[in-house]
Amino acid sequence: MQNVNTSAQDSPAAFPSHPVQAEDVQQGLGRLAGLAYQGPSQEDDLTEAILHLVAESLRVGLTFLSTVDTETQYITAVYDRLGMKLQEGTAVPLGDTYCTRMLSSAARSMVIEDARAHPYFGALAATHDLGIGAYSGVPLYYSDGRLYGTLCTLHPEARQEREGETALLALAGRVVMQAVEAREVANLRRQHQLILDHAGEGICGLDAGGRITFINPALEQMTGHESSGVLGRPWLDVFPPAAGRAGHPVAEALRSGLTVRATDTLPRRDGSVFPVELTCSPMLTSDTVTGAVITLQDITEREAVERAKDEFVSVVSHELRTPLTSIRGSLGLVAAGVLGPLPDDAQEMVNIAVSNTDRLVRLVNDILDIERIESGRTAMERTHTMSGPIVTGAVDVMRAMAQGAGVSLQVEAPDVLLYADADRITQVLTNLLSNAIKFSPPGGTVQVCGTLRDGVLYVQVSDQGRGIPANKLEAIFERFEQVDTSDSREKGGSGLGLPIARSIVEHHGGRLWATSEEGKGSVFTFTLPVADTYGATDSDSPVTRLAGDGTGLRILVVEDDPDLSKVLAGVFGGDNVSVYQARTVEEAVAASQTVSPDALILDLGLGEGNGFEVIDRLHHHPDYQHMPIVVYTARELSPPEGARLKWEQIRVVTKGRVALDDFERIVLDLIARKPGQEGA
Amino acid sequence: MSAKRILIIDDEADIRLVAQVSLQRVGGWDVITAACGREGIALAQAEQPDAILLDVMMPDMDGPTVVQHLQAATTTRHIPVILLTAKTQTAEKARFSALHGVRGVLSKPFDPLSLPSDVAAALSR
Repeated sequence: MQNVNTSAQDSPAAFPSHPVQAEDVQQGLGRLAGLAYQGPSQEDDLTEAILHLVAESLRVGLTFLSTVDTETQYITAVYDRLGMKLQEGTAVPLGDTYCTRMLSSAARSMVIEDARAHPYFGALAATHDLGIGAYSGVPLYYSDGRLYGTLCTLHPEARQEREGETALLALAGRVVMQAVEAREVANLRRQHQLILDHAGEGICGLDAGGRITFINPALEQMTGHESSGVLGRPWLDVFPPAAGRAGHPVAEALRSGLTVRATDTLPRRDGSVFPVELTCSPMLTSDTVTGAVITLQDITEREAVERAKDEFVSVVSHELRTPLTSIRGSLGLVAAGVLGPLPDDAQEMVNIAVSNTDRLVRLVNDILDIERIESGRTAMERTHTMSGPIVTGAVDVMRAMAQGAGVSLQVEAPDVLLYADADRITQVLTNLLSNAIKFSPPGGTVQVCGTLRDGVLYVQVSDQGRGIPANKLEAIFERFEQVDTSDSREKGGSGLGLPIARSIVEHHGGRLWATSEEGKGSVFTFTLPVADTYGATDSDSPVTRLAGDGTGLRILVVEDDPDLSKVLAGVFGGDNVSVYQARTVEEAVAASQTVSPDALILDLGLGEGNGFEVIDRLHHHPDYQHMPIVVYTARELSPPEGARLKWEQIRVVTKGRVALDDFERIVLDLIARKPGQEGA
Repeated sequence: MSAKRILIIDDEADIRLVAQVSLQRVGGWDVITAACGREGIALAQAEQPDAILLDVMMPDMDGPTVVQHLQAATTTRHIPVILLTAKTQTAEKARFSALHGVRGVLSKPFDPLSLPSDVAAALSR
């Protein structure tokens, strides 16, 4: 193809120093510099202007812009003076192309003056397909070094590189990238703005001084404050915390550089107050806190739902049991003949009423039980306890039922140390045993078999009943599922025994499943992790009362030195204060549940485990996360240790620095400040 | 007249009667009853029963408060109390049984045939 635009001055032979050509490039550079200086504007117009400018300045047939990903080059814009064959929107596989060659060589630019004569490019398909006589191009990179694409020229004839050509291409590339990056930043900002505007959570930005730099519409709506009215004001001024500023999560996060989560109340602009869950995450730049982001969730509804549910459970518990107590009691007395003998048919009817009342009672108990276990409201009261007595105890409880059904019980289980709630594990076993007995034929045997494997106790309860079809083996652990719909009537279960048992086992870190061979019986297996021997000796005496009569204020002293405990008991114990003692982390957590102390006095240097563990575990427990804790320690704390104790309800006292009287005052002050405390 | 006397304090008349029949007929107790906490405290002082079976949830004054009042008076602090509760949580029961003066905690609903022996077992503790 003949290059129609080639004038005499432009002919390759005239290179390199023709003044007009040099001026073209110089003019192009000047105009580009102008564009770069103006900064990015309409990107599409700019791209077109640049491609045009480059083509005219360098007198080439075609200029194009491309983006590149790992496999493909996309031609995004083309300026074609001479009707060459490259189209906008073409996708070219990266491979044997000019741009691939340039990019793989990591060159800042590439100029091929005579492509057809070139040993490599002369053989490329593109050279012939697109009629390429000459090529020049620059790779385009983002300012962070990522590859964006290329800016290139093609010419149908061989041509000589012009003076300043690569500089012009490089500058043009930079102007293009400026526009690209500006667009991407704008897109990102728009996207972020959309996210912030539409987030359901309140979001607030703070500077290092705790002043508000940003609040999103959700937070505006939650609080009634408008962004314009709060920007630049300290968070703690706009939302003064009810419990005082010291130790407030926001102040803490900014001070310590740690993320702090808390539930708190937030005042609205109109003075009303609502509960929030608040997370304050500090922003750190090379170890310096430069600000923080607060996210807030209005938990009014969640709290109301939880309260309603708690209330419902407690109402059901009381309101249903009260009439059941009268019914069960009066029927029991009549059925037993306490009030005189009954005719046989009346006796039969009353017996039916008694046994079904019992079933109703079990059902109510089980419903409340599973609700409590699964909602996590009932904590497992785990202690170090041996497995043997639990197994034999459960078997003893079920012996009468087995005898009644003509079923014999066989037990073979090792005696190992567990960290478990003995009552709950007994409940699991009696549930499984009662099922096994119910579904055993008369004369059958129910076996309880324990084995120890890799630190895990496997307990199997097997029967010789009719078995469970394979497709029901999982379903039976669902609520109110029975293998056969007639089972519940015939066997008198609540339909909740297995789900409860599984839930209990899972709360202990174990599993419960069933296997069965139809017609030959079923095997229920559960696992429990075996406890380390550590702490075994403490299992017998979880809580000791050192002073007081159990009424009034309750203070739990967590201390492994018995003498020191007695001293503290002497200081605090009295008419209205009872003092309890725990000696280990486990005891402290267990005692917090059984005693529900009003305050904890904690020795940080406990012998086994340490005081931090007690604090961490109590903080993760919904009932105890606000319990006042006075921590005393014999040594100075390191700053990170100190940060772990920066909670509103924690006071740290260093041994030997504080007189006992002051110690007492600190504890009582802290109790008095406890949220929700209604005078002792 | 060697039968021991027990005071039942419960706001539910039906439950009072069932417990009364159970303790009288099955357990051989002499029974007196009160329908609320205040009446119970007054009756305990006046009648000096050998034991008290006390409901936990009552409208005027809950069981633990009644126990506190009984403990506060020299005339009643020696009388052993057994709490009767519709709550089943072990933690709550443990808390009740830790109250000074409380000998045992029994659950509602109760079996009227075993109530007397459960009461006797708690008292002998």
